[in-house]
Amino acid sequence: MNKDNLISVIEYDIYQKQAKEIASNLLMIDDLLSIKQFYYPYFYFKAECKMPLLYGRKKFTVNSMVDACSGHAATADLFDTKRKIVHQQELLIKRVKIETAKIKAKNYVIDHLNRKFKALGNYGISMKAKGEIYKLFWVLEYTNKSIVIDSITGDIEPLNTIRSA
Amino acid sequence: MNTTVIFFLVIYYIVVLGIGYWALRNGGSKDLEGYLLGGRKIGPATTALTLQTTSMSGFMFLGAGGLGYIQGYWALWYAVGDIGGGVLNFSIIGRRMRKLSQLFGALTAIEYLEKRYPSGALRLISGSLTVFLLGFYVLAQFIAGGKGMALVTGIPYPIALAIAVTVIVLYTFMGGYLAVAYTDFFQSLVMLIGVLWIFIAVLYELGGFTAANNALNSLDPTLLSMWGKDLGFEGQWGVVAGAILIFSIGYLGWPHVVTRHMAMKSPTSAREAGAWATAWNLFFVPTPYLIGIFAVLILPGMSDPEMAIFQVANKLLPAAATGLVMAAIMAAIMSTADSLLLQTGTIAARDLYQRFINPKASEKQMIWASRGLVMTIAIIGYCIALIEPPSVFNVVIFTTSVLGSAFLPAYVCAVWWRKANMPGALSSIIVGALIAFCWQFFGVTEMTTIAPMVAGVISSTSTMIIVSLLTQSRYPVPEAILELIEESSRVRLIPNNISSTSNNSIATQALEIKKFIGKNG
Repeated sequence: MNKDNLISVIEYDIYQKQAKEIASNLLMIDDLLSIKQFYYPYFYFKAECKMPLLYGRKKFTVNSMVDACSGHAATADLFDTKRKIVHQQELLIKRVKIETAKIKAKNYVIDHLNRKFKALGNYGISMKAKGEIYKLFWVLEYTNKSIVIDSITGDIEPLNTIRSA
Repeated sequence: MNTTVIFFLVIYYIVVLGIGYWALRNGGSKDLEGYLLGGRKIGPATTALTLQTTSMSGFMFLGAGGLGYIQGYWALWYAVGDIGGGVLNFSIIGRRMRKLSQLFGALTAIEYLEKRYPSGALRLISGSLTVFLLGFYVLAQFIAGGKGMALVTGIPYPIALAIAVTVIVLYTFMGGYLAVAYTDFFQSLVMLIGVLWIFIAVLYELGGFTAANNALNSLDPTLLSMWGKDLGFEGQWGVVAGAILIFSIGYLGWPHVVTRHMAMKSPTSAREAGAWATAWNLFFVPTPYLIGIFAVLILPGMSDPEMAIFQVANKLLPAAATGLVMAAIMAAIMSTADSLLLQTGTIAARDLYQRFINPKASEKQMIWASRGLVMTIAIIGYCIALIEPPSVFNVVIFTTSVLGSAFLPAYVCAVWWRKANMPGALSSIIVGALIAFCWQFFGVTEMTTIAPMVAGVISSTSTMIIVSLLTQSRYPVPEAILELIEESSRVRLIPNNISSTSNNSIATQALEIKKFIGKNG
């Protein structure tokens, strides 16, 4: 249960102190009970594509990440990672296999390119797995609510908003 | 053949192509690629104007003008619904659907329906219906493109139609190149400037609004009435309701339009997008109808009223201006057609071919499945448009009525009614489509004075409610889906001081973390 794991974590700017400040500024309450950290798993892929254009094929790369818990795929910007040792109980459990994730990532990239280029093109996509990476989320518990804060963007999502609000 | 118009048409396209070429070749920096490929999100203004341009173009330049020409001010009932359509779209389903589709991980509007109402049959029926109806809708764009090109260039219709269809299909296959220059946002501005330019020329020709209305009164006072020419629709509120509803709530059931909600920057941008859509609609939507209404004074006795806007532009604008405005209009028509074909091809490949025929389809097989369908639509569409072209107005009204009647309750209830279940959605889609189709096919509107859209939406909505309630115990909505619907509605409950900065992009992760904490104490 207390096993430690060495993982790659996406570099983040929002540390515990900043997370508390963001939350207190937005919620206007100071009954913070606890602050916890959770590392969320993703599969990271690089899709090498060739776009057919009038003057030939243009090569480019699309980064794609697949949520290893829900299986949702998305495109991703470039980011740096750092190695970190974290406790097992802070790691969310992966429920998606890398083979499945690779297919989902490829399908997502195809659909993404079709939509972006408004064309049914053959992009000659070659998927390269770049490993597992983790993103840190802060969970702040207050007396009547809990919120999640994204350690990179600062986005906030309530975990159990009071229905009468 | 009008060589000046052709010259300026060609110049316009060369300039736009040149900009696109330069942008990709020289400006092909990481910034440009980032814009196209980096998953940069779509803001409210672009979302709104993209939705509006996708929904309109071909119809607005032919159908709307033709209706105004024939029925006078009665045609503005359609414009009333259209102006409010943007706000309804974004406020009713926009924000919630955006969040729910993200939670489902759905890529197409049909896949979204299957994930909300788990059923292979629902996806098969919805996919087939959408492919058929969108294919039919593309036919209207072919006819609009062919007719418009034939008129402004003087090229014979069969050749103009062949050019229009070829360009639209090529545009769909190789659209990436053109998409750089022709974003829908740019299109929307060009369309707006184009119709306003023609409208100003019309008012100038007729001596202003009051003089134009006085002239209409002298010609035929009923053209100024709210009941149509010769008061043909007097007291027919069912038809009027249909005219208002078709473009206001009708869009809510269009799979290719609701897809736009799924690409929105954030659920909270829906409100701002609604304001943008309304502002654009206020200027753009009534104008083609008004040009059509006043065209009867400039070009009386036209054999094909749907050509009113093109004919007026041809008559009033200088040849160079006609070339530029027509190029913009043609580009808008083609842009709409290519969006529709792309959507149809994607649904055919992903929702039908990969889902039911070849689950292990490779990328190439998927592309060929989509291309095969696009080519089939193009060939059939060309033949119909050549042999016996229906009016653009009729095709659009038919397609909108059936699509809206079939899918509106399914999309709206997906986010607003927790009890909406699979049998309810499936039966509502079938009943809505059948009623709207039969209503038009058997001419029931004339007998009942109730528009197909009204009959279709009432039938499909009541079917959804009755069947969902009757089958609730046997087919309850799965708990996991209810949880996601609950999550999609939560944005409203976040206090105001948070909601302004929260974009809910971490909703899925928050849900997973919540589950994880629940399991691990």
